[in-house]
Amino acid sequence: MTDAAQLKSIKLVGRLDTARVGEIETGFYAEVGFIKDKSDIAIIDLSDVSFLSSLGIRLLVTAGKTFSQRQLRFGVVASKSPDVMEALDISGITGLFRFFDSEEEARAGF
Amino acid sequence: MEIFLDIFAGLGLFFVGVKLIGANLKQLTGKWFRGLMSAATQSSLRSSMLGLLSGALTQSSNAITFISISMVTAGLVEVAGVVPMVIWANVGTSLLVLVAAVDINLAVLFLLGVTGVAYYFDLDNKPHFRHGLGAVLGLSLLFMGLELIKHGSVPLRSVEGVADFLIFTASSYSLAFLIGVVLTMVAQSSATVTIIAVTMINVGLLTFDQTIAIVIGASLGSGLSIAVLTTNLKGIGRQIAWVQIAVKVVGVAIFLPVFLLETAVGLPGIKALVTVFTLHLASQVALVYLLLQITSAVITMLLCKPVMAFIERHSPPTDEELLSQPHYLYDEALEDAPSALKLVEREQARAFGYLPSLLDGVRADAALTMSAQALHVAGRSLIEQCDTFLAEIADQNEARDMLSEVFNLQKRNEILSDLFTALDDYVRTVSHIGSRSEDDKFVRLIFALGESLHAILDLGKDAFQMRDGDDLATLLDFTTDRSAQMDGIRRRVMSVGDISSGDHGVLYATTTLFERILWLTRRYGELTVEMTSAEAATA
Repeated sequence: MTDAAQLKSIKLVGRLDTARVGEIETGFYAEVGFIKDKSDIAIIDLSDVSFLSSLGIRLLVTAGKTFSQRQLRFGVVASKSPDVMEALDISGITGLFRFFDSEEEARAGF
Repeated sequence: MEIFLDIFAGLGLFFVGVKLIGANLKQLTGKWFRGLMSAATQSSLRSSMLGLLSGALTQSSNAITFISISMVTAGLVEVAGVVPMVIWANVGTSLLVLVAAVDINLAVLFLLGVTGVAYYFDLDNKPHFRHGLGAVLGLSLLFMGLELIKHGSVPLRSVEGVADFLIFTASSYSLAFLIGVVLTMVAQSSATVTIIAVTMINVGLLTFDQTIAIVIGASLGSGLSIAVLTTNLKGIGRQIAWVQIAVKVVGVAIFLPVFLLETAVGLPGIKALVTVFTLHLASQVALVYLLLQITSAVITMLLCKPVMAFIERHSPPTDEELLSQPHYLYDEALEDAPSALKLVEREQARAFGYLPSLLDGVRADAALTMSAQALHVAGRSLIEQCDTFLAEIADQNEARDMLSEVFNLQKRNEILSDLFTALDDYVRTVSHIGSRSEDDKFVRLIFALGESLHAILDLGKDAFQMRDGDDLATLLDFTTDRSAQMDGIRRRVMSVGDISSGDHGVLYATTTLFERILWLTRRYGELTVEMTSAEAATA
């Protein structure tokens, strides 16, 4: 990571079920919208997410699409929950996005 | 005994005849009739004419009602288009009643002889003649049956007991009315019961008044039999059944009081009216039947708007029917093949959009908003309608580019059909784990599969509906071959060792179906990209 680069992290917590995604998605997409400087590194932190529904997966896919259209560097901090990681793995996201164990690791990785 | 056997055998021949006519004419006219129905239901007059014709051919307004119900629920025609046809089919059934009232014994014997000779020379094995000959044989048997009934009924009047019964019932109109109701509910056709009644009056077994009471009762019986047969229907199907019931009720509500007033008080009514046309009793009864059908049809047509408003309010379309209605396909679009193809693609994308919701019943985190059964039936109906539409486009266009697009969309239709089947299998398999707790690790794995599958199908739904290049590319990224991944999951779970044989089956089936659904979605995506690229190249 270069000195000019700024790591901008969006942290998601708890159960990302249908109801919760409904509550947070507007705020989440607004935060995604603020990260637009090409020197920025976008991180979505899932470390404290305990459940991931289909809508939660779609949230990540849409964010990833936005970052890639803006040609930003983008990564995801993995969840501590094995079930969440299993859902992400099965969906295919883990093979398409860069995953890190922590923000520090992400900072070092870019 | 011989008398009763004559009548019994006559009834038998008559019923065989009715069945043969209906079955063979349906075969003869099935495809032609359906095509005609789609065209005729565009105008009220044409729809009414088709009703008259089809009623005369099938001799059963119930048959026309049920054909209409199946075509409307399949989304092939609109309710408003078939209503005049259903109403006027009743008038068409009068044809055979009128013919039966006339003595055509010699013509029937000739017809039977000709039919027999044709059968002897194996004309019934030739596809062009088979059903026509069957229908003529049915007609001959029907009239032979009526002759036998007549023959058996003449001496019946002098049989002791029967004569007493006839004298006793001669003045009982309510009994005759009830007999008409019950016999029609059994025979499923008021025309059939009226023809038998006409035969009975010909030989003097029934009085004129009794026969009219039977004819009016038969109309009510026909309405009741439709009501009974359609109790399991909902929505649009029931709307059409209620139209037919309304026709019957309107007829009885007008004719019964007029008939009772004429008989009790002597006011001129139906009997006086038919006497103007003929003095032959059997023909008078046939005319009463015809007038009953015409009056019911005309009044119901005049009251059509309020009647339909009432019916629509009490039997609104079901979710399944609404979902089955195409949003983009309409006949006029066929005139411009390129736009017709675009419409098929949009309709297919709409059907694809039903797929994620099929999973809602077995997901960890979903409220069931729509019945999976309704989505499944509706999706299949849309696929079928797209298929018919594509066949029509292919018939009308021979340009190579056009045909390659038709082929692309036909392939997508097949894939859609396979996707519905695979999703149905997936849901049935996952439902085996029932309401087991989420604390169970195996259950959490199956739920993770379900949520992932739902997310990918939802991604596909948006990509196909928006036709966005980035979304299509993302979808292809998400639907790469997963056989190694699924195999890894199977091995990992099996290595733990404490999995039951039932769970083993569920694991194997869900992971295999997951792979298949993703593969099919990818194929569908590739075909979509293929077509958008071809369009971009020619633009």
